[in-house]
Amino acid sequence: MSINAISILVLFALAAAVALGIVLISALLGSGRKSTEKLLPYECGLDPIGSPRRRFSVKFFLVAILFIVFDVEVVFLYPWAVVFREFKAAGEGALAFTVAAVFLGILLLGLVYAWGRGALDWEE
Amino acid sequence: MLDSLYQLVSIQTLAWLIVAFPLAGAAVNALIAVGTAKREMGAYRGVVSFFGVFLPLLAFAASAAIFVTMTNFEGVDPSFITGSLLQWAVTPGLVVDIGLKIDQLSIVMALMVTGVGTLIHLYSVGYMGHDEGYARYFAELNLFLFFMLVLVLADNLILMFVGWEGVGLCSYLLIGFWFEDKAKARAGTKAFVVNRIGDGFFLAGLFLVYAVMASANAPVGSGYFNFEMMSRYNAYFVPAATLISLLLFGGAIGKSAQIPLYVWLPDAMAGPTPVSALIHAATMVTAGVYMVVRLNFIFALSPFALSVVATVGAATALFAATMGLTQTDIKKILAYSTISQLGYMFMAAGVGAFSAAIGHLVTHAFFKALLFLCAGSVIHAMSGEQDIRNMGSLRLRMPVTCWTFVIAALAIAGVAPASGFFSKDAILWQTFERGQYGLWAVGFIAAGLTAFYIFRAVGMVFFGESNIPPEKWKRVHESPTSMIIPLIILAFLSLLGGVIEVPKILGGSDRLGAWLSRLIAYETAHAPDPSMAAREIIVMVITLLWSIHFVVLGWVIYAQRREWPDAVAKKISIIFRLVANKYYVDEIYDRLIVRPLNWVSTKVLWQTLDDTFIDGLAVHGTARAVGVWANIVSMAETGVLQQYLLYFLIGAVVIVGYLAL
Amino acid sequence: MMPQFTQIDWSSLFNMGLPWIVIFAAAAIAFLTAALVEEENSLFTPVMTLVAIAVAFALSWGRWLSPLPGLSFGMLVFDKLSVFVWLMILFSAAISVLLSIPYLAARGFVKPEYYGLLLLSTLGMACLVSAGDLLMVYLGIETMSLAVYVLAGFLRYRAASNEAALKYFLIGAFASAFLLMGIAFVFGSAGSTNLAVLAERSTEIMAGEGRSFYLFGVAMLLIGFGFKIAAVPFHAWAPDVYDGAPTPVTVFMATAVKAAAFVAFLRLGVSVFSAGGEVWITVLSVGAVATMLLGNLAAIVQENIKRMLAYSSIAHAGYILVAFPSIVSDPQGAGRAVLFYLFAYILMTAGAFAVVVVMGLGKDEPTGISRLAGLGKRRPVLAATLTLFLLSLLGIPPTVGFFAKYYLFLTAVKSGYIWLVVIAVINSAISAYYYLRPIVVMYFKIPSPLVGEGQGEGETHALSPFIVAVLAITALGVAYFGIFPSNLLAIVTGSF
Repeated sequence: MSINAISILVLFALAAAVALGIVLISALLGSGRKSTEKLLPYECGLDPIGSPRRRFSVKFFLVAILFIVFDVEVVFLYPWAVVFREFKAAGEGALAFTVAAVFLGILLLGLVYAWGRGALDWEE
Repeated sequence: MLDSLYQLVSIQTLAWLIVAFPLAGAAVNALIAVGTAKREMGAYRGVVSFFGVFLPLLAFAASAAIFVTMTNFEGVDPSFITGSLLQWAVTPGLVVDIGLKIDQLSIVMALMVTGVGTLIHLYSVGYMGHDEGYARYFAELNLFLFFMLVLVLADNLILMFVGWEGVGLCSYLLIGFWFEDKAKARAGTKAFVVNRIGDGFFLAGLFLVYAVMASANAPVGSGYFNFEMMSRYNAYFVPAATLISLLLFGGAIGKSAQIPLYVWLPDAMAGPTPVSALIHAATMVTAGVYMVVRLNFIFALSPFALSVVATVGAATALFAATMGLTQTDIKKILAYSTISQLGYMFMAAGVGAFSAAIGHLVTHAFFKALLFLCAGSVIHAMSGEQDIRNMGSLRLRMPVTCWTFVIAALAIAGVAPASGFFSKDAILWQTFERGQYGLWAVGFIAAGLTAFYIFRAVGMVFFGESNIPPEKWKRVHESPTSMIIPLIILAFLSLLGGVIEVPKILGGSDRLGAWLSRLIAYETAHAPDPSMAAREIIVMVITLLWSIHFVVLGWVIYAQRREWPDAVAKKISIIFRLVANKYYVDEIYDRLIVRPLNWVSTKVLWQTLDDTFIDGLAVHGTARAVGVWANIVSMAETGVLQQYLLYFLIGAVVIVGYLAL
Repeated sequence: MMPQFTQIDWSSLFNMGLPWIVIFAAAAIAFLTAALVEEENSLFTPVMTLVAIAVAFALSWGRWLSPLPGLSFGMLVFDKLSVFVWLMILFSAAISVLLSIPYLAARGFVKPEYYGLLLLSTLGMACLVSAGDLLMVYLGIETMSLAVYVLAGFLRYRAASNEAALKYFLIGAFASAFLLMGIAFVFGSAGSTNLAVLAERSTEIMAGEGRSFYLFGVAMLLIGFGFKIAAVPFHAWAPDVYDGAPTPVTVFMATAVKAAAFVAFLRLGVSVFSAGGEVWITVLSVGAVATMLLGNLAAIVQENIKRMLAYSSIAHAGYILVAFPSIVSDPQGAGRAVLFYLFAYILMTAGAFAVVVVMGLGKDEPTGISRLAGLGKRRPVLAATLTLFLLSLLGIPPTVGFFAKYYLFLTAVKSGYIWLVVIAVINSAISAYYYLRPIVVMYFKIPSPLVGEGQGEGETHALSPFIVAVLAITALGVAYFGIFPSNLLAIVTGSF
């Protein structure tokens, strides 16, 4: 067993120790006296009004998920844009363009689907 | 005429047709059986009869055509193979062809199977005429014929084994044909299970054959189990010959009902009587003998194995004959008689008289089928009565059945010139000639017993005073024509079938022996001694007189003077009393074998060994342990996701931990 | 970087990928149909899906027949193996589609997306079986799995279906993390994620500095695959998910997903296991034993035929794992045995589940084994087919299941793992109990009057022609390759 492997194990051990340790230490050192203020959910110093468990529209999730998808799309396009000139210089510009177009096309398909299925209709 | 036939179909195709016809019959009848289930058969009955009988007849015609063609060859070996219909290659190391081999031995068997088979099918038309399962019956009977022909005509051991298992299956189906009756269904199961024991040995033998052929570097492509190849690589079998022969013989013991696996055959009489005639007398049970003769080139390598075969055969012949003395059920008498006659065949094979074994196989098929069919005719007339003590004098009501039965009885008793005389004499003489006097003596005694018990049956069923109640007596009648015709044909065959092996000493030429001589190397190597001629005559005459004496005795005692056994026994010798007093055997068996065995098997084997150890600990214990573990294991499947992830993590930690170590 | 990109022979890549494009196009059409056309309960999408699968099958079949040696594009490898396995996957996808049509129709829940997801998952499997690189493996697994997660929960009105999807997704995500970590470690120690490169370098790596990282990485990969093939102890999701998911999706998971994962695992194994074999042999054989034992033991006590088949599927994964240690000494033999087994397994499992679909054609899912009582009388043909599949799963000749097991065990014996085979055979014996029980119930048990009321629901439905087609194809396959195993063996031998 090499020194490298030991270092990994040490890393794991440390990570576990820190995670467990923080919980344990606070449990051991804390006095444990409970009062109303301590047991209240923390909401920026204000007294909470009502239960935090409230139903809200599933559309929030839909929009959030769709946002992530198209956000990632843009992230992918950045590196492409950076190297596109090199491709063009190498005479493969059309190829690079096609690849990006296919990528966007697939995502567009998703958008069409989401739209057609009414995921973007807030009022329904 | 045959030439024009061969312009239409090649002889190979004709060989395939022998097998194909009964299969087609089985298919058609099975379809009808399924189609008319739970309904009136109506007009289909005629269709079933037609296909059920006509297709076996066609198979017989095909066999006969090939046989005639083969007899026309002079000096050349007329045997041929059909080549493979398809190859059943399981691995690169095993190739199994599906092909047929027609040679002198298999064509004789095929003729016998299809010939006797057709007659019994015809007989069944009358016998089973009113049965609800008529179509099912014919489907199964046709299927049996198909498998039997596969068994007989196969060109390799595996295909033969397919037929072997197939006939076992059909036998099971037909014994339990009236499966609503629990006892009959159980008899079928018993036959099946006992046969499986034998088949286990057969299979083990097959494995060893494979091992031998593989170690001999035989070419895989032509099939390790091909009979041709096996006999070509004969020499390589020497080291394992004894073991292989004994294992294969183990299979034969099961199928041909020899000691100690004979127990299923008497129970098999639960099936319809034509089934008993075809399967449990004429054909299937002789498969063991056929197999031994077919593989004579392996058995001949091991004198020890041959002597085992002969000893088991002789012992069975005697033992079953004595059992036959005590039976009162007409079919049971015939069943024990079949076991006994099969013992003769094995004895013949064991002393190396393979062609004599086949000769007896063929004549036995004739007369035993006839005996059974006559018995069936009697049972049919008596509305199901099988106890011979409740019969008598039936010759007045059913003359044809009576006289054909007598002919068959003469044949089995070995009275010249009926066929059984020649075939049995061939066996006994060849045993004697080869110096096996002990075996000969056993066979000799058994021959006498055979004559006695069969004429006891003749006397009690057809002669003497009638023990039938008068109102029943009025209804007793001769059987319908479709049942009578097979009786008459078989009677002729039983009477004249001996012509195939009239020995040289009687001016014959032992045609069967010559016909089979190509196949049986061991026998031809045995040079006949000219000085034996006189002895042969003497032995023959003694045997004949001995048999006749018992024929007369049995007939006189049981037909004319049923009071004689008591009266004469007082006057004459103890030996006579032993023979006449048929219950001694049972009592001796009971005292010496059955009771101690029962005790051992009940107390020691069953209650202690089986119940406590094998069943209690091994079988049920294992099952229980498995059950307990199954419950424990399934308890882990809680449906709680966190636990699943825990298992996952534990697994990961264990693997990584193992790797780290 | 640049040269590699331009060196790829785009036209041949396009040519090889054409079947994939067909499948993708069909998926796109399915989704567009769902989005733009107000069509419900129409046969358009499933038929279009079937046609696309058939076209892809025909194209791939042509590629399999062509004598070309393997084409490698670094990330993707098109050889006989990948094409053959993809053919198997397409086959089981087609079977799932056929089963889905009547299944969804009976529940009044026909959605074109269903078929689109199925096709996307199939596409993921295409990547997986053609993967020449660990990243492609990951991509394939994720594409395949994401679609299947949704499919498992497709019957969203059923709590069990939702539960199945959620469980599958969570554990799947967990497993993906392992896989990804494994890839990272392998890359860290070997400097490449390409399987061909790994195969070349693994001996060197194992001898050198990075040994522990490499071992750890491969172990993580092993765990990730262990989840996909439902090997113990990463199996726990399988019974719940198989049970809860719509039955046609269960068929898809039990056949196509498993086959794809196994083949990718096989590729990985061939590349990396030969170096430092001893370690992997122990891990794999212990895993095989545990998987077989647990699957078989737990299957015994199941009352629900879907759960029973789920455990049986775990057990079968165990049997296949029996051949994996042989990869070290006899990669070709092991690969062939595994392929043969997968093929047989797809046939018999799909067939058995098809009968379950028939049983549950009503609104509810009556899949208790006791429901089978009297089936032999009521529907003799159906009962006989189920009997055939169960016997094949048990491994009774002359069904294909027997030869599949035979070749598998033969490979292990040849490589000297006799103890493993002994355990496997004992396990087969145990499995007889639960495979024979439904047969006994079908033929010898009288349906109890208590069950009678719900009974009519699943039973009165006449058999849909689609299900008849599935039953006929699978039953014929099981019987045909059981009698002529050499034909299948020839195909398999030509593929690996």
